[in-house]
Amino acid sequence: MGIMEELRDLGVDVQDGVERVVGDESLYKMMLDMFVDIVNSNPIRTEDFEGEALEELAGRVHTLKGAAGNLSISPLFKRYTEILALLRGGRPGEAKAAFGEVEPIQKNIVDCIRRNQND
Amino acid sequence: MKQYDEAGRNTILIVDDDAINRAILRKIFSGSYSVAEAVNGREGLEKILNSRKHYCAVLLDVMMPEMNGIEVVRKMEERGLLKQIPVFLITAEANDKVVKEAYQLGVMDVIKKPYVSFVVMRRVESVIELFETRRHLNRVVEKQQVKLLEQAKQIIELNQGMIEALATAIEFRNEESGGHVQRISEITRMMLENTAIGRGMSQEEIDDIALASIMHDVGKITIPDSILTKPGRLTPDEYEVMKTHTTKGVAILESIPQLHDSSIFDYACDIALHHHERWDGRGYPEGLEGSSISPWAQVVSLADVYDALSCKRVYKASYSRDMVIEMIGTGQCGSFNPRLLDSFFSIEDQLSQMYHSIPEAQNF
Repeated sequence: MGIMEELRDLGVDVQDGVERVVGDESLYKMMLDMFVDIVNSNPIRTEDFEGEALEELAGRVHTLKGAAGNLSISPLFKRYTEILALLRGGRPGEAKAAFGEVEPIQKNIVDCIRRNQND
Repeated sequence: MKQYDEAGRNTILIVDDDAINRAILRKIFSGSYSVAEAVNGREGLEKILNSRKHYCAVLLDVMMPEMNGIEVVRKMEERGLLKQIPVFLITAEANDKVVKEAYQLGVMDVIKKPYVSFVVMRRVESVIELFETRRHLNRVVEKQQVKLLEQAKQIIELNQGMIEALATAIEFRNEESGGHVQRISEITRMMLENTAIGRGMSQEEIDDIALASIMHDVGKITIPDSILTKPGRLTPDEYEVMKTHTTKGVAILESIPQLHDSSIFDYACDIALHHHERWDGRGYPEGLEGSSISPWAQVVSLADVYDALSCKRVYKASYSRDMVIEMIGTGQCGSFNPRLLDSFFSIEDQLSQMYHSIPEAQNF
């Protein structure tokens, strides 16, 4: 099974994602690699939701949300949108709980992309 | 194929800190345009300000490090750049406050992320075409304005030429060389521009008065040759006929409807009617006295006397410069406003230069 099928099984709308880059599947795959880099450079930990730097945390969530949206990684986009709204609404506890749900989904998607990076 | 507008603009600037977003937008537009990129608002603004050519469009993210998109738009608005370069906000943070401020500042469109690529392309291209069409129309209007101004200038010059030709024709009838009206106009202009008598007048007013002065003797066209070119002194009856050139001059000017709308019309009528009035009320045709005579009519009447004394006429020889100055200063040709005389004598040395090389002023 190729990366596109695997991602589809994980809830990523790959067809919509490819359309976003004007039908260029190879470019879409290249951008999935970039998405992994973005996840690495914007690390989010559960304890971040208990700290003082919530504005900075919101910035990282915003970046992940945008990258997920651009590539139609719908499960992450949907949840990061909710988390960002909760943070901006002054509800970090609920945001933390929502992040607990998204973390394993993100891990699966990132692992899938990494496994297929050299294909 | 790359698209160029008439000014050679074909580069879209993408300002976004998100590498994926930049790559997607580059993919969307690189088939039709050159694409430049900036990774934050500050870099984007520097590129906009330092670019020798304007970008054909700027696609701008809102939330960025260093300087956010709204700040970039504010800086562009301050410099009047939003009227020249269409700016699109492409943002996931399209809340009502941001959208309202962006539109108030002058951005062309706000596109919400994630977006559909062909929709972005169509919206951006439509506005680029709109700006291109607007620039083209502006250039056409500018060219037409230049052409209209040139035509208006030609009409003014033609009118001026016809007025001068008419005045010169009258002079030739008077057996004068044609230089008299030109000198009167030049003396009038010099006095108004360089002495206290013209203080408070705009250059436009002075230009109008100088042109109007050319027609001061237009009424002489109605005076019979036997009087106009009589070599000796006029009889009292002949003098009465001669004096009518003032009132008849106004009648002639008023009979030219096209002149009524001209800015020189009122000056021309006043000067034609009153250039023989004198400060003490002993002039003609109305016997006006003192400041009831307009300043321009006073200036032209003194210029007329100065020129008449300096040059040979059918009824007299030319006088020396000393004699001319004495006759004017002592009121032998009628009295003038003392302030006008002060102004006149302050530049008489310059005025006298006009008479050094003309044959009709051989004794000057």
